[in-house]
Amino acid sequence: MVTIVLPDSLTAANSKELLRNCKKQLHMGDLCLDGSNLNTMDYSADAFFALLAELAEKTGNHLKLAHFNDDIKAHLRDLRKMVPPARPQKGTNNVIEMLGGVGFAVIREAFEVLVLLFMAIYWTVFGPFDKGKIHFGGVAKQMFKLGSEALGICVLMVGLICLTMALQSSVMLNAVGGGSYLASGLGFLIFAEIGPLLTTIILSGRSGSAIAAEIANMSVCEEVKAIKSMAIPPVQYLVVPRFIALSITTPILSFCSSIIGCLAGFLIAYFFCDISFSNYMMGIRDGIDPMTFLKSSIKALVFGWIVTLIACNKGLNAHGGAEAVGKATTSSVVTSICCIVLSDTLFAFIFY
Amino acid sequence: MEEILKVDHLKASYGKESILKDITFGVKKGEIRMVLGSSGCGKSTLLNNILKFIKSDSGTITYFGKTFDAKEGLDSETRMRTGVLFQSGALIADLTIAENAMLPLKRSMPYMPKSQMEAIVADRLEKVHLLHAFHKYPGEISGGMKKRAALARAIALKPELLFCDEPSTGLDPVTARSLDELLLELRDTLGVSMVIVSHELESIKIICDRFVYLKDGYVHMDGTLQEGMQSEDPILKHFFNRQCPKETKSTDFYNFEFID
Repeated sequence: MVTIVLPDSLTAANSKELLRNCKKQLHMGDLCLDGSNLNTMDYSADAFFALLAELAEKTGNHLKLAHFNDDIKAHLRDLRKMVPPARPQKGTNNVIEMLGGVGFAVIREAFEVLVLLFMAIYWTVFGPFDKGKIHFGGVAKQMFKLGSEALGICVLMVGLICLTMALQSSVMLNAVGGGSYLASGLGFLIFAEIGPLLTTIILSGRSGSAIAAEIANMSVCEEVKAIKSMAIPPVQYLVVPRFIALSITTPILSFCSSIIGCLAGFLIAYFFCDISFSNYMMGIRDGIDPMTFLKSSIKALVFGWIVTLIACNKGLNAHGGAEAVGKATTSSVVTSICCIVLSDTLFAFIFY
Repeated sequence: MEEILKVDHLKASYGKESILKDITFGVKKGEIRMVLGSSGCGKSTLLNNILKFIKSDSGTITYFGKTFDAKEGLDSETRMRTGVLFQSGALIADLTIAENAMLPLKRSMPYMPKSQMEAIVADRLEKVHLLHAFHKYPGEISGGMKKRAALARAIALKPELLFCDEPSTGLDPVTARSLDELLLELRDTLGVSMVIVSHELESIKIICDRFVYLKDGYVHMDGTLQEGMQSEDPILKHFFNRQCPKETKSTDFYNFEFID
């Protein structure tokens, strides 16, 4: 049997190293702790002896305490088992079950968003005839908060990206002598793709996150319950004004961003491809037709719905504390962007 | 006396954990019924189930003679006959106190002129001694005032049944007492029946007519305040006398081998 002599004072500072040595010995065989010098112990000593006793029980080796003074002996005799309860198992470790769970969650959320879409359309159409009616002041406020205030960032981002895109395209087109095609190519690309896609991605980060955070905070603070308790459907009060606001403002924002994108493209066309403004505009006109505008507006509208409904759904389903608000916001932005890109791909197959 | 609310064999759970195992009780017209129990016993869950904010597993709830089963939500008419005072007040942050109190009126009587709505709201705010905060926002008033403002909103439609979730929790003794007095006054003047979830002993002694004490998901006792305070049941004795039950310490000791 190995004997380890304990120091005169067993504290948090020296018990870690000592515990490691003692555990090592106890794994190999019986252990005797000589406490003849031990006079003082701090809060960590109880855990020190408890862990060794647990280990002795587990390994079947003996732990003996020799020459301890009466006070410490009395204290250790009163020491109750310090075993934390086992962590409850959350979820499953089975990969197939985990994948199934994720799939089920995605389907459930898609279903919830679809239900929310139908309810929002129902209340938008029938709301004016219902007792509760649409609060047009609320819609105007949301249009300003979610739409107008996002105009600056949308046109700036789309403008800069279009500028970069035009510059890179001009280099390649000039190399093959096709600089004159820059305008028509840019016009189509900006109105059909870049405008609605980038605008709504920026909107999901700016306005979608704001919607999710606001509604999630209301859910967490019982305000949504309060609305329900007053017989007001939360969809009518919280979702519909935002739904109408973004349905109107998203196509407008997309159009404004596309115009700015085209103007940014003109700078490149003028300085790098020697295209005059009138020629550039004619090129743009060749690239797009009324159907392109219509398709672009439909895309922007649907993407706007995606942003609003996912943000509202995440907000309404938030429960817990402040963490739930952050989680709902992050999840809303990520989900919206994924769904926008996915829908854009589907639109590309349907429209072109 | 006529029962305006009847909870019958209500069962509810969160996931796999059963919270309410079998709850049955009723609320008579004009009485203040308190739901008591230790923290975490399911008082707020019971309130959320009665108000149908969450779906129950089984059981029925009868409001004003109309029965709703476990999966059924409350209809608008029933909601308009009830008021709810939430623990946090739950005032809508971007509406003024008056606009908050006006929400139920706008829902039930949307074509009422705004001036008339404002007069009704002023009356309700006067009742809760908060008329001076008419144009203020929730962020500009204290916690006690928020509760009173929420109470004004809850009684805007003169409900027949008022639910309060821990109305005096987190308030100083004077404000808590004034809120209790206010609830009694509302019961006496408007004849409102109340279901109040609380564990504030002082409030319970002032406002309680009858109570249900919840334990382990069941109704441990259903009776009057007098019966509860005189009960020899150790759990109720501990609750009403603010006693700490004797700790049942673990007797599982380590058997150290000492050698001298």
